[in-house]
Amino acid sequence: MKRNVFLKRVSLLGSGTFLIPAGLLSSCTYTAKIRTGLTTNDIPLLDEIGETIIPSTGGTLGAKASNIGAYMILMVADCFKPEDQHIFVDGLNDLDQHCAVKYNRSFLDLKTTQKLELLEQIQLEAIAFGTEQEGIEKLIPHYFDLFKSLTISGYFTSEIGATQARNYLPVPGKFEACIPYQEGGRPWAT
Amino acid sequence: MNSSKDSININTKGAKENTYDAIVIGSGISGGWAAKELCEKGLKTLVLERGRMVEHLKDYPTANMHPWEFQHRGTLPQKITEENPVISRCYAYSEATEHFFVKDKEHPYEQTKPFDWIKGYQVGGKSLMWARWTQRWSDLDFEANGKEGIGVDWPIRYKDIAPWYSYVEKFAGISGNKDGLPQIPDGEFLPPMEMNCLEKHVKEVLAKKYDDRHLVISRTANLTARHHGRGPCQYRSLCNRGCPFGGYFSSNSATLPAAEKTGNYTIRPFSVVHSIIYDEKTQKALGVRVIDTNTKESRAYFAKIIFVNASTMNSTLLLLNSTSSRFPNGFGNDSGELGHNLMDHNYNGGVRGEFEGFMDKYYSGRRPTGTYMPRFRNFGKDKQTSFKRGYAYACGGSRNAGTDLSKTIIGNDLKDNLTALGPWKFSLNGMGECLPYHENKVTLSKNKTDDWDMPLLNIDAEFKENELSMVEDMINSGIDMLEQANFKNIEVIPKNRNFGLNIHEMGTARMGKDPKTSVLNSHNQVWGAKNVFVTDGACMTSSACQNPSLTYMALTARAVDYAVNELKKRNL
Repeated sequence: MKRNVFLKRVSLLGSGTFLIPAGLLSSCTYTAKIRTGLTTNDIPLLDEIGETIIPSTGGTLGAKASNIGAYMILMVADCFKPEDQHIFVDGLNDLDQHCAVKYNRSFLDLKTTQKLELLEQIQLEAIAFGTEQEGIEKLIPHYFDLFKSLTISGYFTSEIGATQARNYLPVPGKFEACIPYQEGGRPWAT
Repeated sequence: MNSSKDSININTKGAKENTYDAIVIGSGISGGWAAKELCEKGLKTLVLERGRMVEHLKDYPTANMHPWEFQHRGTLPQKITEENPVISRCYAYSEATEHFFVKDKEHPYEQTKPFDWIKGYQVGGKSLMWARWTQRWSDLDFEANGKEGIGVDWPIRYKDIAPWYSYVEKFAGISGNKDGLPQIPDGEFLPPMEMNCLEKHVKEVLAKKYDDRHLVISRTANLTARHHGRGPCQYRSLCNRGCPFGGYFSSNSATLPAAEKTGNYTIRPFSVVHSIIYDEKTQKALGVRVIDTNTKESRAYFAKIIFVNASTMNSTLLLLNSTSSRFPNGFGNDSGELGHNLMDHNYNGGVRGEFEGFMDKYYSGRRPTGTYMPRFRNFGKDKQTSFKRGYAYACGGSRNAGTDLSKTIIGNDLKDNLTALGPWKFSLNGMGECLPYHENKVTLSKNKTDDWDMPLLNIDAEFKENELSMVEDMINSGIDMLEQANFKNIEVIPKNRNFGLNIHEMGTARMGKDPKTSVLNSHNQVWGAKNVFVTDGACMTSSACQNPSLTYMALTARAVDYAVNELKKRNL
């Protein structure tokens, strides 16, 4: 529906205060989402974040194919402390905000190069945030650290990550203490 | 409660049904050996196990699972770790093994000082999840207390236990190399596992730079060849899930099936032993009072010989709870030492570093053990002034995916980085002897009992000056060695493990030469009740710095041999 048509229809309904759902007005300007928790609606976004951190390349699939978004939601819900859950959720909101300010588009609608550029920028923030805390015993993670560590752990323990990107040998049968290795060769998955 | 124990009403008909030649309390690493030896010597033996049945192969539900088949890929949910802070600190506790560990709430205990009590209540006990390192002890260890006037002297020497080490090694299957080092005497070994190229290099460098630093492959209860119908090891290194190949020694895979084969074996799971019943007339134990954990019914079982193998602190809890007019302060506790002299190893000093080299080398398969540097402090020419005894190092070289660069990159670069190998790394983790201190002790809770009306155990133990000084030396010596071997990025591994978390709890019913100062004699026989034997970690007079399980096995086989001979001579 075109915006002017929509507004005409609304005006037919009468005057006075009228609450228009924010989402309906956002078709040409992107408004950052405000989450208080995670839902399955966030899976596509998390899949794209994961895929930007570990993409599909040449012969091997990336994080998205390993269902990284669903993995992240499960791990945040079940295995994170409440304070880290908040950092994670607020982090997604912050990422949306970055997208709104910088690109006026959702992360999902960015070009691959833009996704990479944005996450690299946020990674720099995360590194600076970590450096500021040097010497402190209990480090507060930056949300990007959580996105990245979950992507790495989830991808390399997935069937795709373990068997395509690394070399998975469930039953080695023998131990060879010293074998040749050529640069770029795949490490063992476990 | 005490009066009922003294005047137990024995129904003769029931007694006959419930009578065996021998009773073994506990089915873990030492109880399994007691069961096997007693059964093979022809005694009708009842094994009482407080936990559920775990059958070899059948009851290893996670043994063949891939990483992605675990809901949380091995990580335990926050709810579980929050509810179980103690067990969650154990390195082996994960989504893949949680069914073998006792949850904190299920079996509470009191801590006067922080103590992590790691428990496995099931048939096989902790022999299912143990780390399988099996160095022998030597006279450096058996003579130490006597020479230094610490605690009491061991009533045995290496020559007394050496044939029994051989005996248990031959059955258990210990892989290892004959290294000719007196502080860890050679044994009956299956072929050793090999060191990787970095480990071999470190071994050579240290041999050149020092005359007392010997890096060897750890002697380990993993089978490098098929052995008594078990194994061989398939190099998956998933041992603590239970092994579908029978590739390592556990009660479940080895001793209990051997006991069963004799036709003399009965096992009763879900059976908590509440107390030992003492007979004033014969001055021996008549049997034990058992509580069925499902029905909470109490019944008595009787036998000529009783082996107590309930694990260090549970064995002592049981003895403390077995009071009578003869033993008002606990069974066999004439000395007042029952519950005292609790020890655990001290693992709080470790270092690691990176090695530039061997970039064209790797390994294949997951070796389920590491390398070992036996004790060199206060041994030979070495004399330390800041601490007595010494420590060993658990060492290992490995090469993992990725480099430090991975911390600052994403995208294709990150994927390339993490799908290639990083540098070699090597770590040394100190394992320090803990002296026996009378004041490190367990007692019965004054006012709290568990679901079976047993008093809770109160644990009050800490590392002291000697142990803490040793940690400093573990770190400094480790750094020194890594520097000598040209390692880079050397760092201290942060560790702050509570007493108990090294799961080598020993002592509390020590062996000795004198009934006035010890609980057990040189054959693990309770002073004052000669048909009761304690052969698990409770019996230990000192802690040495070697992993203790092999010594429990040898002491158990030795004690059974003695007990059955005594029985034949009608001395029991």
